[in-house]
Amino acid sequence: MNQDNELNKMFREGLTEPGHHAEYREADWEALEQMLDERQKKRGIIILLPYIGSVAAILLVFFAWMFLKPAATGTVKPAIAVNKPKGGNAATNGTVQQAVPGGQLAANAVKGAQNGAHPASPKINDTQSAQNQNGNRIAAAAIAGSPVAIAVNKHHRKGNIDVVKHNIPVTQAEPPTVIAANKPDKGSTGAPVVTDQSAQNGKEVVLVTPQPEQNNATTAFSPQTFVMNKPETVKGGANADTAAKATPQIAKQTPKAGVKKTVAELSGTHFALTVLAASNINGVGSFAETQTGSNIGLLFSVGKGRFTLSTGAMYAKTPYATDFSNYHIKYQFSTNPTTVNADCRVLDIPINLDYRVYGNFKNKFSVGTGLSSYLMLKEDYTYTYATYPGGYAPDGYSITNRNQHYFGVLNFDVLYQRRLNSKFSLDLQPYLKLPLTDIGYGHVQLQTAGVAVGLSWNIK
Amino acid sequence: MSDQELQNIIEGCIKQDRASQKMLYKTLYGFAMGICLRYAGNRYEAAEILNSGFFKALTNIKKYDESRPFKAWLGRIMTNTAIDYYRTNLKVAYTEDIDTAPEISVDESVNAKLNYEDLLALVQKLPNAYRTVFNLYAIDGYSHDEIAAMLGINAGTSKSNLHKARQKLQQMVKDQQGNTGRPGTTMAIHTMILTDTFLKNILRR
Repeated sequence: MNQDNELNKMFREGLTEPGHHAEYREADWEALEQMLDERQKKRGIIILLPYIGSVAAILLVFFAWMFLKPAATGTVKPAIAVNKPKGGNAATNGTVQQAVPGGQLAANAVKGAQNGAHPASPKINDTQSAQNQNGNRIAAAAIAGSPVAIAVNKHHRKGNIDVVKHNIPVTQAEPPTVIAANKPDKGSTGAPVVTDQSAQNGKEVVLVTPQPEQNNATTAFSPQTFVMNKPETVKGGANADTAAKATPQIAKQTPKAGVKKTVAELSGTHFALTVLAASNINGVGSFAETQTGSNIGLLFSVGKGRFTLSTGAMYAKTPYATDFSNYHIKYQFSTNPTTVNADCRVLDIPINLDYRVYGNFKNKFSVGTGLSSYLMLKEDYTYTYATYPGGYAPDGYSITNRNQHYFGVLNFDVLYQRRLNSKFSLDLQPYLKLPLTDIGYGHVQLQTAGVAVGLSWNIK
Repeated sequence: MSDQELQNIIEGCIKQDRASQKMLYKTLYGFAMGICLRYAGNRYEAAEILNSGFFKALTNIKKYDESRPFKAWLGRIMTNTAIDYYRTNLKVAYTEDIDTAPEISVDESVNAKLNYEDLLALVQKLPNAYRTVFNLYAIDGYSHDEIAAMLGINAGTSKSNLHKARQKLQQMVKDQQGNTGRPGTTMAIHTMILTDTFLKNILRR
């Protein structure tokens, strides 16, 4: 024992003599100065990251709201009522009235039209009439600014029985519906909208068609409305019957095709890579006392049907502050600190399963859960004391790569995806992470909540 | 340097003033390097530990409690940084060395008078695990329980490492006494030459 003490004393005195201080080297300072400069650069980015993330999240929410709100809020009522011809015989009455409830444009019947002349009612805007070479009349009524009002009168002259005959099924086949769909678009004003180029048989066809591109949003899913998207689809319109019958078929197929496409795309297997950045808050045991952190990472996801499995890696800066009572270490302090401030660098490896609760071609909403593995890359703890402690009282403690918590964190998330194009989509993902085990050197119940913003590359 | 001068420098460091930071570094370089050299295996590693420790101190200087001695605060940072620097190696060393170190007779008293360079060279020749525990216990005055908590080991392991560190040091002192009439001098010079050569090579890269 004496030998031990002697040895200790010899080394203690010999190595702590004040006169044996190492000589200063400028090269060492230059190395430290470089470290300080690099920190300043990184710090600028890290400080801005939570703010950038927050602004991006707010913008995404705003744009999502803009796109998701109903496109035709109360301005357009696409259904158009059709009055049956009096007496149930359009041929004899010679007049078909199509009126739109609440329509702003009340078109009057065109009466007494002469051969080769088509006296459009002055109240009908943009109604064009044309006479083909055979003297048959093709009347096309376009919508004049107003989305709804259409009135088409057909005056049938003697000798034009065929026309009358073929007009009848139009109204009889689908009495409550309309041949034409309207669009309240300024662009349609004054445009010569429709012509039936099939007057070869000397038959008079009256068609009212919209601008095809302007039609879809409001009429595509209305069961009471038939959309004639493209005049070309009424090929063979030489026969008005054919045209009349073909029109609803075409119209009905249009939305179905879109739905089928969407369903096919949503139900197939797909792969995606996502770059995520998030701003989050961290608390121990609760969110009563929080500190703001951030993370960034890359996720790979595989989807089939409504389910998507995703995994990847997120590098997280996770600061938190907690009362010392929540901090559990083996070390016995001579005087316990009051609070512990932690600054941890964590590699978060999540495995999440998301279920799509809503989705169409553009927008998807999913809810998900999963587990995360936390690899604690670096942990810096700083202790704060209420009073000046006597004896040894550490100011802090730092460790690196010491704690790993495999599947130690439970994840919950809600994911909104807005498709930008066939390859890319924007993600907005609020999330919550709850610990299943004690985290880090301090064995704390660290929980995190945040909002991630991401850009996904849809590989397939 | 007076306490007031040091306080002024610290206030400059709190404002991230680079000139103040350099002044503090120059002022306390010798003191801090003395600690790092004890815990490090050579001068190059000591310089790395020193800069890591100063980096922590300068970036967290707002947390310094002015009612306490600054040198003590900086010294603890250097010690903790040195422990962190070798932490991975320490764990490996514990598992490898505890039961395999040969027993050395310690019946001869150590009465040699060694200078600073000799002692430093001897300590730096110890394996990391032994050197750390020896420094913490014999020189810095921590208890085995404190060392165990700091290093994440058992107190028994700390005692064992200290015992083996002493055995090795006594053996080295004995060897020196046997090899040279004036213990330690030759080895100290040799170690310094090697260390300086190593440093020069590193700095030239």
